[in-house]
Amino acid sequence: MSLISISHLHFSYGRRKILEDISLSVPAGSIFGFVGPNGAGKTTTIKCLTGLLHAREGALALFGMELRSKRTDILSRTGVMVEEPSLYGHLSASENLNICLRLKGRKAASIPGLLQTVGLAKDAHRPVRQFSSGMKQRLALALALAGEPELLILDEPVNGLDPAGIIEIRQLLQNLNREKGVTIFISSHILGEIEKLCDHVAVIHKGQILYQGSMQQLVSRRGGNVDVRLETSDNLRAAAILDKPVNEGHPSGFLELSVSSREDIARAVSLLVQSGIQVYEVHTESRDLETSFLEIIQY
Amino acid sequence: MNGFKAALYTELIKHKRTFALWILAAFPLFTVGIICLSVYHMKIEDASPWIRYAFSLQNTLSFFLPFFLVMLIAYSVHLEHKSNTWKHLLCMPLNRSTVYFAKLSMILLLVLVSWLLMLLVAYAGVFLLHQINPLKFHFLEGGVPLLKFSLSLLKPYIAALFIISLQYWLSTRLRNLVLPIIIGIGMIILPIAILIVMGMSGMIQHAKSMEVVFSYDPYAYPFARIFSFMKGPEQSVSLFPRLTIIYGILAILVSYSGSLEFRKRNF
Repeated sequence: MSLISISHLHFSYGRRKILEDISLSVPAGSIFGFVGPNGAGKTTTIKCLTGLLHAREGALALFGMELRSKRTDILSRTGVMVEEPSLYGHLSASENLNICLRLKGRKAASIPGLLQTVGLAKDAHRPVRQFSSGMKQRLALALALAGEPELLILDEPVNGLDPAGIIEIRQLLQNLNREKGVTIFISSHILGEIEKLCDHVAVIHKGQILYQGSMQQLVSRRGGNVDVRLETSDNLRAAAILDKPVNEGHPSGFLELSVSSREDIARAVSLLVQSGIQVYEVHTESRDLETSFLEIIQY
Repeated sequence: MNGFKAALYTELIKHKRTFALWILAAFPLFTVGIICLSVYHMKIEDASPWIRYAFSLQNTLSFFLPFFLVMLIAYSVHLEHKSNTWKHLLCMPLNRSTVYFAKLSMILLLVLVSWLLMLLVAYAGVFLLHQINPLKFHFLEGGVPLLKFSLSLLKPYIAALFIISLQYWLSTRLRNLVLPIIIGIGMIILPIAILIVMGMSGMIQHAKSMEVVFSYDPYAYPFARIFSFMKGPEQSVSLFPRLTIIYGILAILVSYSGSLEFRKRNF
């Protein structure tokens, strides 16, 4: 079942087309990564999805309800974080959360718990303008989590966080998804993070969806090839034996192979050793989201 | 209705420790301070110093009120622009009209508080003058005309409702803090420029013409009524003259159409 369904969405600023015929389906219970280069249309899509932008063409449905007619019902079950943190700098963290909870029709009792969750319990009464960008990011995430949403829509949630913070937020989101079944729609340009966190992914480029499906499918869509680099005592002879070119760009030269399994690597090394060539280094590079992403957008 | 109450309550939280509240507090102190100083040095020949005091205060208040409102509204609405919180606010489960009217209601509440503060400080000023020179400023003899005095200070506020609705919509449209203030102040002083041109060309013969010029600029209307008062402090001016009623209706129309535009706006 799709929790978010976008079909044939178009959006323009004046004559400049931003989104062209976007169709997207986010399965319930998934962590859905939405990736694309800067200016691809990620934030515009999220803004259309939350009703901040009014799309002239296309249908948007969340929880099976039409966004146009059931916007407030949808937003009462959704936590949103769009672009940079939206916080009142002159107010404290708990006052910012109080505002958010009141607007969601909830009591302020959950404030300490939310601040504890994002690691800001000690800073509850400090004015937000004194916060670092990472702390602001955490507080913005707490605002999105306020009211126990069933769906989280997060636009670049780990921007400005240090590596420890990124890991913490990743674990938090994974726990929310696993334990409470929260569906998470997350946009980011940090591909490594999306790869670690998401089970589904869509790639947007120049306002068009170029790929959508499971992360597994994306990574293995070219047959799950593994790139291997070999450095040997005689690269030229090794290249002749394996019938592969030597990379001229490297000062000492190395061999590049594309194999479909780990056994192929073992076979190649064995063949070289049997031919009296010493193998100094075997470096494997699995096809990851970054490689697939760059291929999709034809970088 | 619950959504509106919640939105209004959160507006109260948002205004804590803001410059808008400082403006709110400073306005009556500034206005009454000027009046107390001028009345202190004035020769009081009237039987009732109350009338002289109320007359001067009403005129001064009428002149400064549009400037105060322009500043108050600009700073109040700029809270959302400055914090970049419009997007977050509009992702809450509230109708956009609720957001628009809750914020407008907060501004009206601040204006109401401003009137109450003005009364309070005005009475404090009277008490102070009386304490300084009870023979000259025999305000407290013969009772305090509470209702009459309060209503006389309410008149400029009622005349300014159209300014509030226009300036509020403008401030939600413009992200820049200074721009709505410049436009507002420009609209206030526009009739003065027109008067200078008309005066130089000999088109203005008497005070009535000046009143007309000021009346048809809603931003200058609250102090256009000063020209009515020029006929003398005893002159009675209705709380709801015809033009005030027209501007009141226009204020409702602007607020309603402003909310419709706000609902359709892209953020």
